[in-house]
Parts: sequence; structure tokens; C-alpha cells
Amino acid sequence: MRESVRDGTRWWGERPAPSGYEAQQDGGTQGVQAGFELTVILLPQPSKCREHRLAPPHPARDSERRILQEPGSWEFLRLIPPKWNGGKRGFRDLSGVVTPEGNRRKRRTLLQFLSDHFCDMEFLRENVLQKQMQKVSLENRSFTIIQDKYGRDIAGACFILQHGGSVKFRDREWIRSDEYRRFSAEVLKFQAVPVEAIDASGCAINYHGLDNLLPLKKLQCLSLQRCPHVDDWCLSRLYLLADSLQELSLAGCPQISERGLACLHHLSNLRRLDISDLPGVEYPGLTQILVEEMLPNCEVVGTDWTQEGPEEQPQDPASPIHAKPAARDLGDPCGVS
Amino acid sequence: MLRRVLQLGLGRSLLIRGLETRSGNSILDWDGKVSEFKKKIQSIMPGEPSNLMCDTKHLPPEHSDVVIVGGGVVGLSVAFWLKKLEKRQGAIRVLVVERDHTYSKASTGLSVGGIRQQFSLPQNVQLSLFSVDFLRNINEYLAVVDGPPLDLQFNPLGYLLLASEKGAAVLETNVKMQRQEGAKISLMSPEQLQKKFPWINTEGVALASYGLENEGWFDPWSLLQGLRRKVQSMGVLFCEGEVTRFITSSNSMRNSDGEEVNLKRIHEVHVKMDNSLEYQPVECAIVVNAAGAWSGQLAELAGIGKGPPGTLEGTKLPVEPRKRFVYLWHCPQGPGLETPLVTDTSGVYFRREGLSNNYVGGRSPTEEEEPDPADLEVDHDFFQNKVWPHLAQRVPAFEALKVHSAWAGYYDYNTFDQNGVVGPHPLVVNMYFASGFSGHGLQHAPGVGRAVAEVLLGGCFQTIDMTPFLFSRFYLEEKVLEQNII
Repeated sequence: MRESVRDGTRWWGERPAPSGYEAQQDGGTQGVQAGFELTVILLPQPSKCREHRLAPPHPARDSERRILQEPGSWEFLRLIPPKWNGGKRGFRDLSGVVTPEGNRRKRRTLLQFLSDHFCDMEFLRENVLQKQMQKVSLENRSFTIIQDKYGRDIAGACFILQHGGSVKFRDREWIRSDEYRRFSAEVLKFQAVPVEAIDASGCAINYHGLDNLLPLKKLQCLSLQRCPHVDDWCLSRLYLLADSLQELSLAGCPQISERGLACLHHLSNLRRLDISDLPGVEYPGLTQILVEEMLPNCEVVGTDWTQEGPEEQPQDPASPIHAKPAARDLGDPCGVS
Repeated sequence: MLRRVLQLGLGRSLLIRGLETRSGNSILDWDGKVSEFKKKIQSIMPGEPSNLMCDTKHLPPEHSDVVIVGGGVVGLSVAFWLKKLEKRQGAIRVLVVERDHTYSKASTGLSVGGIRQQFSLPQNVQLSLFSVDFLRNINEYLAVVDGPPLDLQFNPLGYLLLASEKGAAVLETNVKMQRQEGAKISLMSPEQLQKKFPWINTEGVALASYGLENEGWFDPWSLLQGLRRKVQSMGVLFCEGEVTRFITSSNSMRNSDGEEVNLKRIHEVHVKMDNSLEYQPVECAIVVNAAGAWSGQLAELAGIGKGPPGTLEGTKLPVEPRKRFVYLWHCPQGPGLETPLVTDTSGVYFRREGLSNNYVGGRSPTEEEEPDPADLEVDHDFFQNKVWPHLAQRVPAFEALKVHSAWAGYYDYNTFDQNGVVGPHPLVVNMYFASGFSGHGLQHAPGVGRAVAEVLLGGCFQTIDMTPFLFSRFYLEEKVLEQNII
């Protein structure tokens, strides 16, 4: 069953407007259950409609025909919108920070209706949900082979670069990957040089992905800005970096709350902490004061009380955070652009 | 062309019909049609009382493969793992019987919600580690299509266990074992403790162990709701009622020593509806006893412990309800954001609650001071006399505090060795236990649920070996003692 469902998913995602009959006959979806086939038949074929010109245009039916022919009006019958394979929806859905638009809501209710009435649909949607979650965990596997061959620093650097972040080795320039997440192989030459700073803003790192970063014993500056999967559980593991970490930025992480911030008390060497713009923190002002009390040697950047705009934000000229284009491959997970 | 017409025609008609049913033309009017139909039957057969169409929606089903008695976290977790581990979807029919759907007396909602790895038994540490993994990935395990993600409100601040000179050696061996099992625990000397938490008075403390990772507390209610939502979406049936009777049959057998043994099997469970005399016999293959504090009573209903003392038949399930008080106090000068769950040498514990200097804590009374578990009244003198002095001694800031509220909850206290009972009963062959956790049922629930489901489906423990927790230890008098009972 799993095989056939996977076939179905790919089929829906990649081919924009296939003909239902042909797809059934070519055997590609033979294993798919009845409910799924039903929706396949339902899909009209806009391009063919125009070619055949079955009936002369009827004035009363014209609007209806137009709706039928418009690919957009049928889109809600798709299991997943066609742009889905970019992986953007994957974690947007999980972090739950995207506001539903009207169109989206309509599609969702129809999907709900379908999954209430067809158990195949329900299984399929459950599978899609599982897939989305698996994707994140697949991306966060440890780089054990690189770690064994080149050492922990290189493995950590490669991990971050592959996620689209940037890395700074000691006394070197910032290294970043391009938009296809490729990076030059010269990273592998820096074996004796420790990683000093990491900018992982916007990366899909989760709890298990941190395994690659925690062994970096000389890491001084870590930026986890706008990481959609970084949560309180991740923060509870940062104590392993306590000896070296001096700067930490958590700005804009949607899943971090004051409960996770409380366990940063292990980081006694911390000089600067950015906790601005955390939607999960209920009382940002009070939390900032309490965090300041907890970390007396640390400058805590939090909610901007003076409302002076972005000038108050820390601007490190060496850091590439602001130099980068906002639209990265991963998108902007928390809606802050 | 035919294909095209078919496509359009079929497509449209199906779509329109679909939308119509959605607006509720035929389905939502069901009740009205049923009453109409009833009237018709009455007019056709005037003399007959029409119990043909009697409404039985509120009753449990007549058959169920597994009946889980107790719908708390442990019971729901057993149901979850049964459904998760079943070979084919929908293969097992599971019914959860819960007495009170408001969970007003259930230990789940009234607990302090802590989770720790600092136990003295390797099995408990493993259970805890498994549960923490479950809680961390709770939105993967308990994800429901269209449901919002769960917020467990986990506070990863750790447990701080203090030991006096007498207990230091035990604490050290325990921590060694916990580290071997994979828990991240650090040992601290009084000086380190003073440096880390300046608000603690280290007088009388010889050693402290502090959980660095995976320890803390969470909101038990959201775990319960998440499990309920997931289990319901997996097709588990719920029923509000009380189990009043088991219909059993017994077989007389001889064991290898020639002694006669009565093997019992439960065939039916009588579920009595709330506030009425109505009951429904439910035929079942397996009963899971997850009734928490009342699991001792439930076992007695099934005839466990009703034999001559000293025999296996006469061995009771030694689980009884024990009342524990939890107090919430306010202390303006109290410890700050980094406060872990502190457990003092005297057994007093407290943790932070929220951001505004509120604290939650309590203490387990000694055997002699054990309060009467008949109701959930709070004894405020207990705080004044038994809790506060120790609190103020450990944390001097607590000299000035004000108790805001207090509540009481039940421990499913195992009087034999303060550890859970998991697995089947040796004589009542289709009753499985998941109870007696003496206060750490909530934090072990995910692991216990999996263990019970594995025994039920496969016949043996696979993930965590829980054989020391089997019922037979009560008869063999092999105590599996847990020292760290908070």
C-alpha cells in the first residue's frame, strides 16, 4: 500500500494536469484504492477541453464552463498544491505560524470532508503528514562519515552549509553555500582550524541536528535566528557549549518559549543573547528582565521598548546575516521578512 | 467523446451530490427520520412496546477485543500502543472505560507533572528515557490530521536531588547506574551547589545530583488531551461507566508439584452506566487494569486475592490509594528563573510555577502520618508543621511566603515495593496490569503503555525488559525496591 501511495503522491505533485483515464490505464496507479481513483476521474483536463471543442458555447453555461476549464478552480481537488515539493509547506504546516488565507481554508475544509467520508483519503493524508515529518528528520541526520574522516569541526561546518547557513573558521572569512546549497570543497582543508562562529538563521535544524553542532568546543557565536524547528528541547542541550559560547541569537524562533530560555543559565560565559521577537514567549518584557537577572554578565537584547525601529538591532559588520537576500531556498518560515 | 461526457457527467454529479450531503440534507435529519419511523412502527403494531429502535448510543459495544479499565494517561497510552503496534489497521477493537470523564479525581490531572531519570532501578531509568523521547517527539507520535500541534509546556530545568551524608553513597551509585543507562546527570559538591544556586542553604547536604537534560516538568492535562485525541482518531471506543462485575470461568489444573490450581478467565465485563442502574455486559478477550489508585479494588472484583493466604490465589494486588497534598505558594524573594525541581534530604520538594514567583511543592508523609484517603480534603496544618520548616531551612527566602492554594491527589501506592505492576496475572490469565506506579505513573506512561501492548500482542517485552515488575513477585516476595520516591 505504501508503494502505491507514494506513486500517487509523486504523480499529483509533479505532473500539473494529467488525464485521469490515461493515468489509470497506464498502470501507474493500479494499487491505489477506490477513493483515490474516484478523485482521479473527477479531474478535468483543461488543455484537452480547448482542443476538442465538444459543444458550442452556451451563454448560460459559459461561466460554469469557464470555472471548469480554469485550472485554479479545480486545484482544491488536488491532495497537495503543486508547489509542494519545494519543501516549504512542510515545515510551515508543522510550525503552524502561517495564517490561513481564504482559499486555503476552502481547500482544507474540502479535504476534511473527503477524509471524513473516504478512509483511503484519510490514510493518504496521514501518510503525507508522516512524509513531511520524515523529511525534516532525514535532513537532520548526523554526518558520521565526515566526522570520522575529517573531524567534528568539518562535519559541523558541512552540516550547516548544507542547510544553507554560513560558517566562520578561526581567522578566516565567512563561508556560505550558494542558493542550491553547494559549497566549495576547500572547507575540508580546514581540519586543524576550529569553527568559531555559525550563522544558521532560517535553517531547518531540529533537536537531532544539534548533534552536529554540540561537539564544536571552540564555538563562540551561534545564531539560530528564525529556525522553525528549534524549540525548548534544543535549548536544554546547549549547556554542552557552555565553556565557549559567548554570543547566542534566538530571535524570531517560533517554537521557543520562556521555559526553554530558563535553561540557558548553564551558559555562564554568555556575553550577548538576542531573544527579540519570540512569538512563543507570553510576557516578553518580564521574561527579558528575569533572563537578565539569571545571566548577570550577559547583555540581553529583547523587545524594543523605545519603538525606535530596527536601528536597535545588533549589527555586526562581520556577520553575513543582513547581507543575505531574505528569500533563501528555505523560505521565510515565521513570516518575518 | 464518450469518455469526455462520462468524465464531466460523473464528475459533476458526484461533486454536487457530495456537496449536498455535506450541507446535511440526508444525514443531519437522521434523528427526525428515526422518530418518524418509530411512529410508523407503533401504528402498525399498536400493542407492542417498541423497544426495537431503542437508543443505545450511550452504551458501550457488546463485544470488544480489549477492555481497558481506566482512561487516565496509562490506560490511554496502552490503547495508543495497541493501535500503533497492531499488524493491520483496525484489527483490534479497543474499549476504554473511564468512570469520570471530567477526571476530577484522576491522578493524571492532579499530579505535579515531573519527569526525571534519577531513579534507583535501571528499568525505571529506561522507562523514563523512553517517555522523554516520546514527549519530545509528541507532535510526531500524536499528530492528528487537521489537529493543531500539541503544546506540552515542558520546562527542561532538571531535578536537583540533595543527599545527606547518610544517603550520599547510595546517591553516587544511583547516578553511576543512571549514567550507564544514558541519562545526563551531574554530581555536585555543596560548594558547587552554592555557587550554582546561591539561594540554597547547603547545611546538611553532602552531595547533590542534578539532571542536565531531559528532566523537568510538563502539563499533564495536555498530554492526556493529546493522547485522547489521537486514540480517538485511531478508532478506540470510549465509554463513561464503571466496571462492577467480571463474569469468569475457572478451570482446575494440576501443576508439576501435583497441587491443584484454579485458572480463571474473564469472559464478560459488566459496565454500569453513570447515575443509573443500567449496565451493559461487554464480551471481551483481554482486560487491562489501568485503574490507578483503584486498581486494587478492581483486581479484587476479578477474584484476585480471594484464596487462602500464602498461596498464589490468596495474593492480593497491593495497590491502594494514598492521598498526597500539593501546595502552591507565593514568595516575592524566592529563587529565580533557573530553579530546578528541588528535592530536599527531608523529602520536601518544590518547583517554580510560572514567572511570577509562585512555587508548587509538597512532601510525602511517613507511614504513621498517612492521611485518610476517603476524600480529597487538604490538610493545611501539614504544610505548617511538616513542610514549611524544612522548606525555610533549605531555602532561607521561603521564611516569608503565602500559601495561595492547595489540592490533593491520589498516588496509586504499591505498599509492597513502591513500583509498578506490569504484565499478566498468573492465574486470571487474561487480566493485564498497568498500575501501582506510586507517583511516577504519569512520567512512565508512554513506556508502560508500550510494554503492556507488546506483552499483549507478542507475548514478551521487547523494548524494555520489565520482567522484574510482573505480578508474581508479590507471591515470591521478591521486592524490587525503588528508593527515590518523591
